[in-house]
Amino acid sequence: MPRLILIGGLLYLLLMAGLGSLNAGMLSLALPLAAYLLLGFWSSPESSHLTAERHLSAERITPDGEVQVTLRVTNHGPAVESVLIKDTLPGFLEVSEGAASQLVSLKRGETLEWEYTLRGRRGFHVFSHLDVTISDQFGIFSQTHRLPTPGQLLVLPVVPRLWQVKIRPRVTRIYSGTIPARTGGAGLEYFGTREYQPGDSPRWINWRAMARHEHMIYSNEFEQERVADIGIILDGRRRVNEFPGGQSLFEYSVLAAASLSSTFLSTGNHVGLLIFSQYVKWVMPGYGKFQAEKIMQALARAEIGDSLALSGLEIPSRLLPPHSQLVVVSPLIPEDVENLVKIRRSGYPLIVISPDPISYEERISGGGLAVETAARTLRLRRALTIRQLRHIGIQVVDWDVTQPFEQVAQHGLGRVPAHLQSLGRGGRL
Amino acid sequence: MNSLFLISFPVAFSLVSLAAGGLASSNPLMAAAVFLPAGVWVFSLRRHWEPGMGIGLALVVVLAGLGMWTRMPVWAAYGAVLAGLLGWDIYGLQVRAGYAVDDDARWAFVRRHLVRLGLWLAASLGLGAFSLLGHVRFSFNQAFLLIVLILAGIGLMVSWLRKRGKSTSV
Repeated sequence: MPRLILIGGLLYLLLMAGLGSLNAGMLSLALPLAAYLLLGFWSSPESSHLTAERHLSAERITPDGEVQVTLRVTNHGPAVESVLIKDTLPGFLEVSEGAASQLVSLKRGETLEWEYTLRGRRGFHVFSHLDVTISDQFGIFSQTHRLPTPGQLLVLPVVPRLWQVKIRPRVTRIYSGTIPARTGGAGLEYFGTREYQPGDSPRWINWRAMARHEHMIYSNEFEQERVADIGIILDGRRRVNEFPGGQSLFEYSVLAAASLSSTFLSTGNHVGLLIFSQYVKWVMPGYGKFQAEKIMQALARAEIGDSLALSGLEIPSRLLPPHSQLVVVSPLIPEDVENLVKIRRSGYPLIVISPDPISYEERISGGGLAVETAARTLRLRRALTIRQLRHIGIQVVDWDVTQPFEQVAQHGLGRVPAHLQSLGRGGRL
Repeated sequence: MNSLFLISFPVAFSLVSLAAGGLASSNPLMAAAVFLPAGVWVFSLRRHWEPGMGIGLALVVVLAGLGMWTRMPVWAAYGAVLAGLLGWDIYGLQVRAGYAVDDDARWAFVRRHLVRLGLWLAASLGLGAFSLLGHVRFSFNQAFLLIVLILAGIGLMVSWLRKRGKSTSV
């Protein structure tokens, strides 16, 4: 349309100026423009009779995977000289092979089929339409149409494999698993010693205790291992995740949440996910591979939002009963302490995985004396925040995102801290 | 490189023609004003700024129109408009042909465009030659009538070609 406006406007201007000034030469200058317009009009398309189809080789890929997009456009009307077809892609997807746009001419009944390959970062995209511009050879008389071509693509987050994550919630479920249940019974770890009961295996008899007490037989008791209710809370607030220049820590938080949920589910636990961003979004707790898929899909779609404080965060007890394990993945700001303390006081044991925003921002800011001084001050505040949380029994893993999450998680979550180990242990003689 | 030459040549021709016309009509201001579209075009070509090419063309056409008012030779103004339009069109062709993925499709598109452009150039040059080489001198009323007739004639021809094209398009 701008080409038509330009040529038409200049033609109109010359004709009006020529008529106004009674200048024949000026009128003659309009001839090439008029001829150009008319020649374009000769081959201008009347209306679009195009239809399109889309086929994706996969609707769900990992970040290192690729998907092949096949597009088929058919012209059911008269021949069109110039058809510009563009497939609009979101920022997180990129074309690795081929092209997402095409310029062709289509005869009546002709079908164009072309393929291109996509890869991308974590995200979810709904392909709704193709933008098609049909025009004459000179591109003067053009029409733009949207051809519906539904499709969707989910790029799942990266899931680093963790060796083990040791947690000790106060309450576990009845099914056997890997979480110490604070209850004596069949298990692997020594839990306590009690009087022998009929049915106890002779191998459980504690011979040393029996030797010290005449006429008494004692058996060792082991700690039962069961599955637990675990809630993972992903903090997607813009104010804590986003930094100048469009840089964001959120991808790291998503990676940590994906890794933890995958590890917990693989050991049979009952895991739910809460994404706290623009709105609070729950993935109801569940078991197994189906739940893992639901959580991965939710994480693939997760985006940062404009919620301000964690104060709006309520944990429904029907989803996660009190004393279930909660894992909060958040860069943390000092104002969050109060809300985390509130959650801890309502009975939930809490682990906080905190990607370090200060090191991250310092690195992207490029250094300098002012940046270093500011970073030092902020680090002190962060250390104080983390100390406050640890003081009330919240386990905090401070994660400098230059380190691989597996390594940090192994170090921080590979064993239960000493002050939490003693809680609820069985009696010892 | 070739497409840059294809664009630069008509653009330079247009500017030189306009400047020569300005000098021929003893109007150095007009000749100096050529630097305005020249600057816009050079900037647009270097920065790949598509609207700039259109702005440059508009400036050339306006300057040519003003030139006609200040007794610039018709050949100079006509040549400037023709070459400017040609340069602008080839730039647009380059941009649109860039969307073609397949080399065969691209060349087919470019070939078809160049044939059409040749047709337009021949028609425009024919009309220009008719008025210049034939030393035809019309009064304003005669020229206006002639232009109306030409436009009506081309319009009728185009609508006939469109009807014919629709009935034979496969």
